[in-house]
Amino acid sequence: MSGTMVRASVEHDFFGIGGGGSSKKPTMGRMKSFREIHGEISRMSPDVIKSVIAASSTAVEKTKTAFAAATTRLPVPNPDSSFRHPKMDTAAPAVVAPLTIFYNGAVTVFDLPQEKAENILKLVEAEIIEGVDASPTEPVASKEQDGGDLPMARKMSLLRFLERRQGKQIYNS
Amino acid sequence: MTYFPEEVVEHIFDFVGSHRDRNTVSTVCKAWYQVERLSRRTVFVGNCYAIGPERVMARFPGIKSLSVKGKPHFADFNLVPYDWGGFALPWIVAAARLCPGLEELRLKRMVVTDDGLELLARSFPNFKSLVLISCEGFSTDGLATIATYCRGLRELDLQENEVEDHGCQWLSFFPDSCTSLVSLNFGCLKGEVNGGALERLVARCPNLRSLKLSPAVSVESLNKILARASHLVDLGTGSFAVDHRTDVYHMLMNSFPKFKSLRNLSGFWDASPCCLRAVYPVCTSLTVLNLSYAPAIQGDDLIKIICLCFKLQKLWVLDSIGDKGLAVVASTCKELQELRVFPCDIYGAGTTSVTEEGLLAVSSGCPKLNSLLYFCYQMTNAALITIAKNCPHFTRFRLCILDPGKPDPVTDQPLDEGFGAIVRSCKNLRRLSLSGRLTDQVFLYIGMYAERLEMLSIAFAGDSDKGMIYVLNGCKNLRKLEIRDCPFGDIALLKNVAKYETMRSLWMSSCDITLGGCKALAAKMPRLNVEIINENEETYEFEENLSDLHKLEKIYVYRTVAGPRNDAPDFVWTL
Repeated sequence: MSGTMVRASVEHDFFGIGGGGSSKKPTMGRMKSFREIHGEISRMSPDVIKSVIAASSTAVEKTKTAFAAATTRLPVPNPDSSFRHPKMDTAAPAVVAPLTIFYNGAVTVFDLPQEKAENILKLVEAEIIEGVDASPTEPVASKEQDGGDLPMARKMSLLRFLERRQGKQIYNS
Repeated sequence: MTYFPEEVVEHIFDFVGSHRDRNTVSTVCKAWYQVERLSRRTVFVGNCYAIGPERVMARFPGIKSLSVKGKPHFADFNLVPYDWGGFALPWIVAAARLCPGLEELRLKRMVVTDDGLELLARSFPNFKSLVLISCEGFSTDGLATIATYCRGLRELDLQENEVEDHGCQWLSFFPDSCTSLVSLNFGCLKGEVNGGALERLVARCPNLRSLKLSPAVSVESLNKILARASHLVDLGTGSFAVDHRTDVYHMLMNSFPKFKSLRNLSGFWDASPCCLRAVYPVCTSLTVLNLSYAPAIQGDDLIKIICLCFKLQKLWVLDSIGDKGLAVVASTCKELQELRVFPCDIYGAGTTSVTEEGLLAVSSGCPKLNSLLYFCYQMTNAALITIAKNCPHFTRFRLCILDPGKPDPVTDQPLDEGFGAIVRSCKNLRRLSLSGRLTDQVFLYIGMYAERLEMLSIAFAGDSDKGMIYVLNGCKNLRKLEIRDCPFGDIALLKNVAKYETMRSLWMSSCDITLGGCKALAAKMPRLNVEIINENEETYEFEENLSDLHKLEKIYVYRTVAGPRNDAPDFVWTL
């Protein structure tokens, strides 16, 4: 993740997730088009945009190293972690923080609990590893959309299937 | 038969059990239709939008048991938007008005509200059994009303539902006079549980045979419950991890030996290996074991417990069992009929996971195997061909290779021949899920050989429209076809439109279907609902302006006698 964290006071709901989290909807619900996301960017302060563009000029490399760094930096939740009160294990609310992603000139912000952020980072990590290992002649039966979306989409939906079985997220170990 | 009095005909129909047979019987003549409809006690509605609830209840006023399904299966993979539909309330309202004798209701993938549950609880004086599977939209308040008003309730079975937690008191709403429970399953609840209320409830229900607890129920509570429920046949534990130095642990170790009738064990939420030893005394009589919620139990501990379970018929585990553990299953569990292996970790190749070797071993050692759900990282044609030879009795074969489009790692070939062998050999195959690298050829095999196939799930497979056409032209018993991320387009969609009226439903997402194709389908087949699910907010406001060439992200096509539904959200258009 880039060092620039967008604070809650400059919140932009890029993906139309909406506020509150009052109902247990999946966080990656209906996605707004990129045109709307760029509309959001035009409402941001120019200084922020400048720093975004500067950061994204070497976006791909930075993204990879940033994710790799972030993966090692995020603490793994465990029972002794200070985030968890021992008497509230089933009712502990997840600590929600912004996850800012700079990629290819666009910036997106998610407000996510720690576990979900970790999952996303793991997915990207897996994609990076997969991308390095995949042979150029590997047949792909499906069509390319947004480059690299497909395996992630498949993994997200599988993850959701497995989470529903469990009634909770356990697949982050 | 027309000369027999109605009572005799009705008595004969009592022996006609299955839904399909009764449906057939009702089409013979008007007299039989009348007798059948008035004597029908159970109705199953596979798609809640195929027919209106009032019509069902009006035709079958005497039903005691109703089963309804809502969202398509791919909703389990988050492919169906949250507010797509599948509302239970209209069914409950109609039943309350027209079938007050209802005793059992079973709902799957439907939106159930607390209001609906309250109406249910208050409307059916003989209500005995509520089964909710993969439903959502209700809270523990709704459960409290069921507990309060359903006198004589025998079964409350909640499986994998999303239930909003409004507190732990719902169990206390079962009155002291409630002693009729036979089956109670609340494993999917996330909130705290009132242990005392639960223990008292169990203690006063002498007929309780099936009890499945949620992760919030402590081992201490479990000990108390087990002390009062020695006739249990089916137990799902709550939390199953305590320090082995505690009294609670020692009590747990002594809790199981007295269970003479226990046959099914599940739960084991986050179970630890030392606690698992508690159930060793009952393993030799187990027929069902579900350890798939216990990621801390690794291969060796799994092997220790499986070694004892020689009567096992159904086993659900995580892939931490490894090929080695599956070899032990193969040599021990000779009665095994159903195996499900779930992945511990879908992010990487996994150091402990299963391969084709494990499945080969089980197919070789367990001749009665007929139902499979297997998550793995690789599969070979050779293995599938051998598995098909070893186990010709498969009725359900669901293979999920976690890398989409992955070929046979040994030969680099697609898995067409392997799956082809499965459909050729397993003549009773009713359900099939494909994965791995697959060309149109596999669909040719499926169309040719899978005569009894009823449900087919396809993802990231095929090369062209031909694949889908082979399936639609073959598979004469196909009822549900669900496809994602395949290169099937309008030509395939429109090749055999009459087929869709013989099926319950077709789901296609991320394929090459266009708006024009769907319009053509809707025009040719007025008795289908052709639903377009368009979550792209930019386009759904301007549906008239969309070109026919516009590619559709998700479509859901199903036969119906009810016409377009009136509860569709903005992002669903029915053509």
